[in-house]
Amino acid sequence: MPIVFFLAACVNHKEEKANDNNEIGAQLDKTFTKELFYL
Amino acid sequence: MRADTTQSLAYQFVQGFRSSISRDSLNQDVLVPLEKFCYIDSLKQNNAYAEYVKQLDIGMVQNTAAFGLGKINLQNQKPLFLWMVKIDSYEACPVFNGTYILGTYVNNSGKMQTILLSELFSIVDPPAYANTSIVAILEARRIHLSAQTLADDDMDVSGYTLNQVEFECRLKNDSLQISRLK
Repeated sequence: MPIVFFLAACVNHKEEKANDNNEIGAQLDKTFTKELFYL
Repeated sequence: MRADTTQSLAYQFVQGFRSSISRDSLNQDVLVPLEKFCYIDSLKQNNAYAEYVKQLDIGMVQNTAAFGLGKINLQNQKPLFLWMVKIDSYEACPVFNGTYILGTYVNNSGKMQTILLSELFSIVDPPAYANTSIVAILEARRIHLSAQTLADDDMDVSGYTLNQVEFECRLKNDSLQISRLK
């Protein structure tokens, strides 16, 4: 049982990390509104 | 491309980018200017800039600014965020100014990576001067970078030193990888 708990804790931690990371990309996408294109 | 000076970036934003600058030789030039920008912008935000200006001395940075320029999609359709920083010094000597354009990429796991794309920097302290320019050509599959430094430690004597190097940057394994061409 302790192993299961440990694994569950790892998964939760990873999900939190991923959410944080997605927020960085989303925040930048919102801040940088001007789209540029290759000539 | 004209900078959109209405989209200024605060030092909290730039500090986040700064920590994601890859430590290869091409990017070393921009670390100090970013540090100066963050310091001066934090003074401005805390109403301490006027006091700083009163105490300016030779060799110190006087003005700084940072702007968001826009975003351009890389070959994987994920954006490269383009932004710039400008600095200039208190009156001579030396007198210097620099403009830097950087690109920040956020990969699929949310890791930020920032590279220096373009630079125009000049410093003069007669009889010596130096200019550095980096020009980037952005293509869908690669970024070609040409860097040139021209320096002369005595303008009264003929001759100067010219260094030219070229790099390319490609997206590999969801990461920007810089390699020197010559």
